[in-house]
Amino acid sequence: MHKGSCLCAKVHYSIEGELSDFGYCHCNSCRKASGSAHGANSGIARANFKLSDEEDLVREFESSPGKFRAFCSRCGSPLYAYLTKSRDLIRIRLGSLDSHFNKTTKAHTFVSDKACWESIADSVPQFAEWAPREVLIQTGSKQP
Amino acid sequence: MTVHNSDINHSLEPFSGSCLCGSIKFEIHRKYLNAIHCYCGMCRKAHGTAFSTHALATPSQVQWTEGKSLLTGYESSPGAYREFCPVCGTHILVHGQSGDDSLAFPAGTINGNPALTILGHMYTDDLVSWYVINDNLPQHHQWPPGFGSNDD
Repeated sequence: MHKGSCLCAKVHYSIEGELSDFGYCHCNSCRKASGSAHGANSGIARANFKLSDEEDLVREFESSPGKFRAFCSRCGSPLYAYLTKSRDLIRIRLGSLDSHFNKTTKAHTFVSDKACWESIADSVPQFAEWAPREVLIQTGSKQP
Repeated sequence: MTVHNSDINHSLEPFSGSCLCGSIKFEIHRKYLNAIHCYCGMCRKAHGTAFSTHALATPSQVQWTEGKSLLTGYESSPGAYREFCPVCGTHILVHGQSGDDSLAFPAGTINGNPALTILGHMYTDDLVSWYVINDNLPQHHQWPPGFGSNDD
């Protein structure tokens, strides 16, 4: 089981089962939304995700048609995202995890968009856009 | 609406930035941008990633060109405020974190993919197990006051 929360700790979640493999997404949208060099997201079935939001603080933003990013409206923490065409799957923003997560990244995706000041110095495969499914399955994303 | 800053050096071509939805926009009037990577637990939560990257400036170098009144602040530790957009959730600014008036802008919000000079890694004691630092830049346990923001 995994647990997570936002920065102000008003919103909590728990996850049954294991999180999927993850990649670092360097696309402009993830860089804007996170304010960081890349996003770090892992997919799970919504049925395995239990959200505790007693003060109704979670807000959703449609960052592109049919893609929603959920964050805490009190502290701004990004929590998860999902597509309307696959509402039964969500993608957790790994920085919100409180529990230990011992997987390592499988791919760098959308490096064609990456920040010029970020130097990728590891040996993890890099892909200009989506990673092929034999390398990384990005559950709940627009991956073809 | 632009909030005028009389201290701005208008001879410099500014860096521009915004949140994801474009409700809040700013300019940083500096010759170049210094930045740091921060691995503290608060940055991890605030950005949803393993670390944040912050470009540094002083108040005299910043002009808000849209939506400054929308900035929503959260005091993540005593005296340190994280400002974000209430429409799209993008974190725009951190201030008060280093005990002086320096401003820290999450680098992902800056437009046009400009070059940054990464000065080093902060709060590396808090680094998560699922991320590895792969360079030889200096690593600091804390954020020294005025670090990286006092030049232009």
